[in-house]
This record gives sequence, C-alpha cells and structure tokens, in this order.
Amino acid sequence: MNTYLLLLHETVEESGQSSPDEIQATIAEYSAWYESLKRADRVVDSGKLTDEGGRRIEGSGESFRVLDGPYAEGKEVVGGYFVIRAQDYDDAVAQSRSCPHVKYGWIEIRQIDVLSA
Amino acid sequence: MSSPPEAPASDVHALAEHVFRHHAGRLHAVLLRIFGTSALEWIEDVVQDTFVQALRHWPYRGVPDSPEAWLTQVAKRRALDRLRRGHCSQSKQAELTALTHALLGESWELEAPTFTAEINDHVLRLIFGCCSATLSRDSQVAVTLRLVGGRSIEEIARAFLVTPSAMARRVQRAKNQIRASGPMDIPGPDDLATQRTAVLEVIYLMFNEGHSPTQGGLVSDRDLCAESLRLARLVADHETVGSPDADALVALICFVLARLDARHSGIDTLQEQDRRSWDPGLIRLGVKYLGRSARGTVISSYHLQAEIASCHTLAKTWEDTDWQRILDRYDALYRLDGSPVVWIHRCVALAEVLGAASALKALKHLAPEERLRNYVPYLMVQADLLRRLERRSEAHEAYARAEKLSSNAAVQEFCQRKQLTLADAH
Repeated sequence: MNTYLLLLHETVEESGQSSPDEIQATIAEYSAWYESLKRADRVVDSGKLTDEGGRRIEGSGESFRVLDGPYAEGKEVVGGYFVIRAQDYDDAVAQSRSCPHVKYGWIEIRQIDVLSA
Repeated sequence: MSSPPEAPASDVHALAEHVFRHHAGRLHAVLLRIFGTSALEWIEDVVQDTFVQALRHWPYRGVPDSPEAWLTQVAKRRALDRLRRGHCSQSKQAELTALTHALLGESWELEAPTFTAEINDHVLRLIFGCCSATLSRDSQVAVTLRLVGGRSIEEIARAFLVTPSAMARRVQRAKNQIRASGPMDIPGPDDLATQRTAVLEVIYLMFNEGHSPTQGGLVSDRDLCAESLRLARLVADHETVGSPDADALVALICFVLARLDARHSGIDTLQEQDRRSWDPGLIRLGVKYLGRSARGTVISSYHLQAEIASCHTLAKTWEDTDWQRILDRYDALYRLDGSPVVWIHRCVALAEVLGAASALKALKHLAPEERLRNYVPYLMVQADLLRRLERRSEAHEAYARAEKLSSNAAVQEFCQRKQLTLADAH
C-alpha cells in the first residue's frame, strides 16, 4: 500500500443561507464517505485547515520574508486534507471520487514518495 | 447522485433525524432565555454560523460523539463573543456570562443538564412567545416554524406560497412584535387557558397544512406533521401547561399520522387502504393520549376529532367501522364549530349509516348550490355519493370540476382516475 495526500480545494464564496436540514444532509454525505474509508482502514490522518490562509516564508538570511499565506487574497483555498492508503493512483482516485467534496470543489491527489532500498 | 455506501450502524456516529433543525429550536429558546427578546436580532445568525462551523469541521473528523453538545458549545462561544463586543456594562456582562455557562454547560462530550429536563421549559416559553396574541395566525405559524421548528425562510415561504423576501419581512415584523410584547414566558394560571388555546390552534394548523397541503404536488408533508406532533407533545407532556385538549390534539395527530404513509403513493380513500401498513407505534401512542384526554370535563373539538380518527384507525375493516358513533361525534363537532368541512365529513358518515341518497340530500343543506360549486371537498364527496347512486354522468361532471378547481396535483390525479373508472363503466 502507498500513501496519498488528498488536498481539498474549495472556492470561498458568500455562503447562502442553507437550511438546517440541507446542512445536515451535506454532513451526512461526507460522514458516510469518511466512515467507510475508516472502516476499510484507509485513513492515516485528516484535518481541517484554519480559514485565514496561513503564512508563507521565503528567502534566507537578508532576503528572508514572511508573507500572508498563498490563499489570503485568492478565492480558492485548501480547506483541509486527508492522508489515505491506496494501492496506486487508480485506487486512490477510486477512493476519492465518492467524496462529496467533488460537488463543491476539487481534490488534488498526490502520492507521498517513499524511497525504499 | 450515488448513494453513500451502507455502513453498520455501530461504526458510524449517525446523526439523529433532523438533529440540526430540532437543535436550532432548542438553541434559539435557550439563548432567548439568557439574553431576552432583544436577542431576537441575532440568535438566528449565531445558530446559522454554528451550523456552518459543523459543516466545515465534521467532514474531516467525522461527526463528534455528541453532536448536540458540540453545537451547543460552539453556539455558546459565539454568543459570548458577541456579548463581549457589545455595549453591556461589566457587571451585566459577568452576569450574562455566568448564566450562559449555567444553562449551556461546559462539556463538549455530554449533554448539558439543560438539554434533558429544563430545555422543554425554554422551548415552551418560545412557543408561547411565537403565539403571542398580537400576531395574526399566519404570522404565528410562520414565526413558530422559523424559531421553534428551525426551518429556513425559503422552506416556510414555499409552504405559504409567497416569495422568500415577503416571508422574511413577515417573520421580521413578527419578531418585532414579539420584542414589543415584553419578556416571553409560560403564562400564569390566569392567562394559561387562553394562550394555550392559541398555541394548540397554531399546532393544529401546522398539522392540517402538513396533512393536506393546500397546493403543490405533495399528498402530505410528513415532516410538517411530525413537527406538529413533536410540539403538541411538548405542550401535552408539560407538568403545568399540559391539558386534556392538548392530549386530544396529540391523539388526533397520532391517529391521522399512523395512516399517512399508506396514502403516500397518491390519494386513495380509507376504504382502499391496506390497513396493515398503518403504523402500530403511532396508533398505540394515540390510544394512550386519547385515554389521558378523558380526564377533563370539557369536550374540545380536538377530543371529537381524535375520537373520530380513532374509530377509523382502530376499525379492522371499512365495514367494521362504527359509523353511528362517528356520525354522533360529527354532529357534536358541527354544533361546536359549524364549519362546512365538518358538515361535509358528517355526510360521508351519514352515507354509511342511512345510505347515499340521504347523505346527498343532507349535503345540499350546507349552502346554496352555486356557492358550493367551487368548493373542492364538497365536489369530491358529492361526486362519490352520485357515483354510489349510479348517477354516473353527474358524478363524472363533479370530479371533472373538482379536478379543474384543485391546485393540488395529488387531488387532480385522484379525480382523473375516478373519471376514467366512471367512463369505463359506461
């Protein structure tokens, strides 16, 4: 099994007033996906990132700078991530395509590179 | 949309049905209890923000062990942030903060004590506030659905067939009036009966609308019916607020709701329904509350309607139904409120006791024929009686007219079906 990082990109927009039932229905979809992944022992880690966009640092010595995160101004942010186990990219895609997030944003899938002797 | 994979219940922190909607009502109620009616300005925003937080957090970690405790703590934090930003005196702030902690608890894991026993009192205060005498019935229903029922303005607007902005204005006006009428509370002994009557009527109207929507394609709005049952039980089960007529309303809702799923595929008459598909749990609950409702001395319209509904629901077959008893109760009900709908239903029972000819004759007593020619329930019953008297073309005409006049797609479909049967038999 390999390990894959899923980055959940979303577009920040003025959220309309979803009704409590609509919010519940969306959560139920995500939760069904997450729980089925967990049951199959595919989840290594997961987390929501804070909304403010974080910090970006670059340069060293004299030119070292701290900037507001890459997403501070843009409309698109990474809302959170999952680290999952999968056989290969096809499998990782198969695991991710049922994630309800694809209805609201897009998912970047990256394999974590482990060099073995 | 593909459905999510089936999961064994034990593994999943499943969300109880409508937990957000119901919890919205509870949070509104407790926040209003703490901050007073001036908080009507902002409590909905706090609750909405709280739900959006859940929407943003839960997908990554799953649903917390106690979703309601989680939501409560987030809402509490938001309310306290607001309080700090506001312009309250230091001492007032400290007092409200302490009250907030006391009523909303500290735990993210377990339910705060408030959410077991006392919560019902807070919600009842809110219900009485929403049914304040200064509001029209329509506004009472709308604002109850919004604040107690946790429905969105859009959802309420759909039920009332008005635009969301018109409904938003109506609810805002209602909230202003509630604020103006002072603190919300469970009425004292002097006003309790009058105000409870208003509350029960609002619940009854919600139930009627849920059970037979005036418009749209739905045969029934099960959610709205279930919501009315929930609220009616809140009133009926309360130590000081409960009353025999509240028990009777609960019984009535149970008996009708028990049969609701059986007619979900479209409108069919009681005669055609598969009685095995009726909900035995709701029937038992109805019997229990009907028994409890007998403790008083006053027979309310809810008592009579519940008894009629129980006769229908408890009868093993259509033929087995105690029509004489139903007819007696309709007579009593007509004496009580004299409404044409009651008279029409009375005629249905009369047809079973004395035959279709007598019933048709009685039906015509209701009002001059010209006025009734535009009344769908009248036309439906008239059509059925004419059919039973083999007056096929007149029956056909009455169904055709009802179909044209009704704005409910399920009623229209039923009328079309009947017309086809009548035409076939020619």
